[in-house]
Formats: sequence, C-alpha cells, structure tokens
Amino acid sequence: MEEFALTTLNGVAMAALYFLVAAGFSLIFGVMRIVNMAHGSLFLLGGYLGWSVAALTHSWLLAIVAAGAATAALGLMLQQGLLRHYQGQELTEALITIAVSIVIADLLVATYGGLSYQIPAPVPLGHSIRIPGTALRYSSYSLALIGVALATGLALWLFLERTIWGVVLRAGIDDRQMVAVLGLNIQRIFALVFAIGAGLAGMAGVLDGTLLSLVPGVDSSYLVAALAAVIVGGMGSLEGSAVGALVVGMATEFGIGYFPSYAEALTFAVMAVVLVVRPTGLLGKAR
Amino acid sequence: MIAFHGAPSGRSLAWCSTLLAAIVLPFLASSFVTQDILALAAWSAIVAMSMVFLSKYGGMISFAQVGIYGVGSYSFAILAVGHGVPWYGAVAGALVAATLCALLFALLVARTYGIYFLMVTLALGLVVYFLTISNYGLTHGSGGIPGVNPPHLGSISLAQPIPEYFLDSSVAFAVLLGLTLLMRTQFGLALQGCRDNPRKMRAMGYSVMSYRVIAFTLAGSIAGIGGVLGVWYNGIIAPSYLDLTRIIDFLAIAVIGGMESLEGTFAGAIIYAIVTTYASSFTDRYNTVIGLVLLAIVMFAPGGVGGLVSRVGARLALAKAQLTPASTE
Repeated sequence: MEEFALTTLNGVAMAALYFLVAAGFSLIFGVMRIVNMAHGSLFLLGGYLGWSVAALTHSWLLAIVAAGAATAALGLMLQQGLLRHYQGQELTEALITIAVSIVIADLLVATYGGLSYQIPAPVPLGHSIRIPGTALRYSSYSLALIGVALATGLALWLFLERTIWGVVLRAGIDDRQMVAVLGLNIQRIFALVFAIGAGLAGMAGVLDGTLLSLVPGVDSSYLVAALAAVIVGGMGSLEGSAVGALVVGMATEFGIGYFPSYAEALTFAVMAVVLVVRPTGLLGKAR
Repeated sequence: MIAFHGAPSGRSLAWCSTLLAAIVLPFLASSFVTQDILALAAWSAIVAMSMVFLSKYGGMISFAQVGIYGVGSYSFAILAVGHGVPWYGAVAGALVAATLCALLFALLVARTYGIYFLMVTLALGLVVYFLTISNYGLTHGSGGIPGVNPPHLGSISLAQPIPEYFLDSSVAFAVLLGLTLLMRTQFGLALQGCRDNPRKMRAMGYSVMSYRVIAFTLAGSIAGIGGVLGVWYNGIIAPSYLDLTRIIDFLAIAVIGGMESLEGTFAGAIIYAIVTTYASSFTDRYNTVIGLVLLAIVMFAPGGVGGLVSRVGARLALAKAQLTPASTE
C-alpha cells in the first residue's frame, strides 16, 4: 500500500514536470501550428544555465528566474529571427526547429560535456516531510514542485480565460486568419506565446535538474514526454496538457515501479488507445 | 517535336552516366571510401527513400521510419546472433517484423494528417528507442547486440567493401526502380489522389484509409530492408542507433536530397556521409556543422539537391524549347 502511494506521488511529481514542458509545447502548436522540436533543447539549456547561475550565486531562485528569462529570450529570437518568415509552412518550421535543436544540443555538449549535473535544492526544501494524516514521508521538494505546476497551470488558465490577451490567443487557436482580419495584432500574440512556452521549458529544466539530474539525452526524453502528453490530452488545450501530463507521468512511474522492462510500452499503449478512440486527444477539439 | 524527344534523351544520358559512375567508382576509390562513404550512403539512402516515398506520394511526413528500421535491425540480430538462425531465415524474419510493426503503426496513424501525423510518428519512433533501452531480456538494454556478421555468398564475404557496396547499391537501385514503377500503376495514381484530395477520392469510392495504410506498410518494409543492410554494415545494433539524433540524421539525408525526389536521397546520403566523415576530422563540433547545413538548405534551397537539379533541368529544357522553333521552321 505504501509502495502504491509513493508510486502515485512520484507519478504526480513527474506529471508536474511534464505539464510545464507540455503546456508551452501545446500552446505553441495550438496557436502557430509549429511542432517545436527545439523544446527539449530549450529545456536542457535552461537546466544547464540554472546550474551555472546556482553555482555562481548559490541562489536557487535566481537560477530559475535567469534560466526562464534566458530561454524565453532565445525562444523569442528563434520565432522572430527564423520562424516568422515561414509562417504556415509547417514542415519548414518543424525542420528549422530541428536544425536549431541539433546546434543547441551540440553546443551544450561542447560546454558542459557528458557529465551529469545536479542543482542543489533550495535550503528549506532539502529534506522530507510527513504527509499530514498518514505515516508517509515524502520529499518536500517534490511536493513543492507539484505546487509550482499547479500554480503555473492556474496562472496560465487565468491568463487565457480572464485577460484580453488570452481571449485573442484562444481566438487565434480557433481561427488565426479571422483574428488577423479583425485587425488584432496576431504577430504579437505569436511572439508572446513562443516566449512563454520557451521560458516554461527553461524553468522546467531547472526544476528537473534539482529533482533528478541533467545529462545529454534528457532533452529528447522530455520532448517525447511532451509529445505523448499532448497526443493523449489533445493539442492546443491547457486542460488537455494537464490531463495528458498526468496520464503520461503515472504511466511512466507505474511502469518503472511494476514492470520496468516494459515501462515505455505502457505509455505507448495508452497513447495507442487514445489515438484509436479519439485521434484528436482526450480533450482535443475535432478539426 | 524535337524538344519532346530531346528532353528524355538528356535525362537518360544523365542516368546512364550516373549508373556507369556507380559501377566504376568503387574500383577507383580506396576501400575506405568504398565502405565508409559509398556503401554507407547506399543503405542510408534506402531508409531515407522510405521517408521520401511517403512524403512525396502519400503526403505523409513520417518520423517513425528509423524506429521501423530499428525493428528490422534488432529482429535480424536477435534471430541470427541470439538464436543462431541462418541468415536467409533471419532476413525473412526481420522483414516480416518490420512490416508488421509498420502495419501496426499505420493502423494507429492512418486517421491523422499533416503536422499532427508528423508528431504522432515521431512519438512512435521514439517509443521503439525507449523500449530497446529499457528491455534487457530481448534487446539487451543500452549495450545492444554486437557481433552481427553479414553472410558469405560462396567465397565472397559481404563484409568486404566492394561486395558490400554492390549489394547495398543494387538493392537501393531496385527499391528506387520498384517504387517509381509502382507509382505509375493504378495503385500509385490512387495513392497520389488520396494525397491531393482525400475527400474527392472518398466520394469516388476509394478507401483513403486503406491506401494510406498500404503505403505506410510498404514504406516500413523498405525501412526494414535498410535495417538489415544497416546492421550488416555496423556489425551491431543498439538503442543509440535509433535515438532522436539518428532520426534527425536520416531526415537530414532526405531533406538535403529533397523531400520531393527519390533519386535525391542518393545525393543526400553521399553528401551526408562526406560531411560526417570529413568534418569530424577537423572539428569536434560536426553536429553544429550539420545543423547549420540543414538550416541553410531548409531556408535557401527547400527542394534540396533534387529540387536544384530539376530546376536546372527545367531551365535547360526551356532554353532548348526556345531554340527549337527557329530550327524547325
């Protein structure tokens, strides 16, 4: 029973990380129809930058802020400098992000090598605490991580549902041509969404570097987790990313816990069933 | 009339000289070049062709081809090395496994289109990679299966550069020829119809889904052939041969050659083999070089080498057509 509860908590903690990566990935796809293959690279870049900042300043908070800001700026540059000129050419956009991801990954190997890095957790979260009402002890950092994901999800939801920017953005997901025809500046929305998505990926990199560790290859495993989460949950929907991340996080942890040889097969099986039953994902709109 | 006859003869001249070069070149080049550039390019082109075929004729950009190629490689290695099955049996097993895997994937993705298709197939391709890493019983985890040997045909060992090159390149040419001819049949035309206007084809009574499934499965068999030749070439199969970097490698070959040109994959594969072989000798950052080359091609020559050649060909044909009226009058 205790093992089951721990696996569940681990699953939720993984889901929290997956959500932060998948939400940005999904929004970028939803609004711009861009499969951002560099999303994993931005994630890893953010993690490494966070490690460097933490090593210099001994401040975890500064590390995550700096990583988020730097990857958001890089995402903005990628969108404005390269992708903007190829709007609507989906394959070209995907290929550009692939080329960028190759370069980023290679330069990261050149800078940080193949070693694994871990970012020390912020001091108040360095130990485990008892979960109220049970005999279970669990890492306070992981619990905080779940809280961060919930808060980010709530902030994104408020932004999408309660601000004028969010209204334009959601309209852009449904029909971006109509939004442009109405005289709204869709380009600014595109830039904003890309920056937010990239910044979230970078921050998730720092969170992951504190929870687990950073090594080359982590970029593609988070890219595929984000892919799986949005395929399961549905593209371009915030709630879909949350549901998808939860499903994939649970499948991963229960797979590792109960049948490690086929852990990925479980994620795959879930994805396959969703694709057969609902090709647009659990909460995706039919197109 | 003269221009009409002139254009194909120029084309067949180009074909003949390419074929001649492909036959003569290995005898002039060093055995290093024959094996590490030409043979590598030949079997890589087969995998890239399975990708370009789906894209060009089916309108499906699939990132799962490397995963299916891996199923072929692993099946051969498991049967031949793990169970001592003779090579022809292992080849048959590998092709059947790759084809079945492709059929399974096809049934999953046939209802998705466009960029969504790309994403789902990427996820499927990576699932194969992660499965091979986490599974020890069958695929031996990240160490993979070493010690895979290509067969001997009589006294000829297919591990020797020249026999290996001729095997790989003739299979690649056969695949190219087969696909080109197939696309001129009723099936090929219907498939292209499904690419251009699925709704109309459906209204005309064609099962668009079946055509997509068949095309994807066929492309999977071709990727499986590449998988067998690839594992013979490498002598080992491991998860690192199927990871995202490798998926991008084969995609780069297809893009450099041109996503609209089956023949272009040969050019793409040779350029790619040259860049990876020689760039690594003067810089450690050859992946950055590859990334930048890919970026430049996508931005400035979206048709790849194949696109450039056909553009030059069209320009020449135009020039000829402008010349001929004067001579026929």
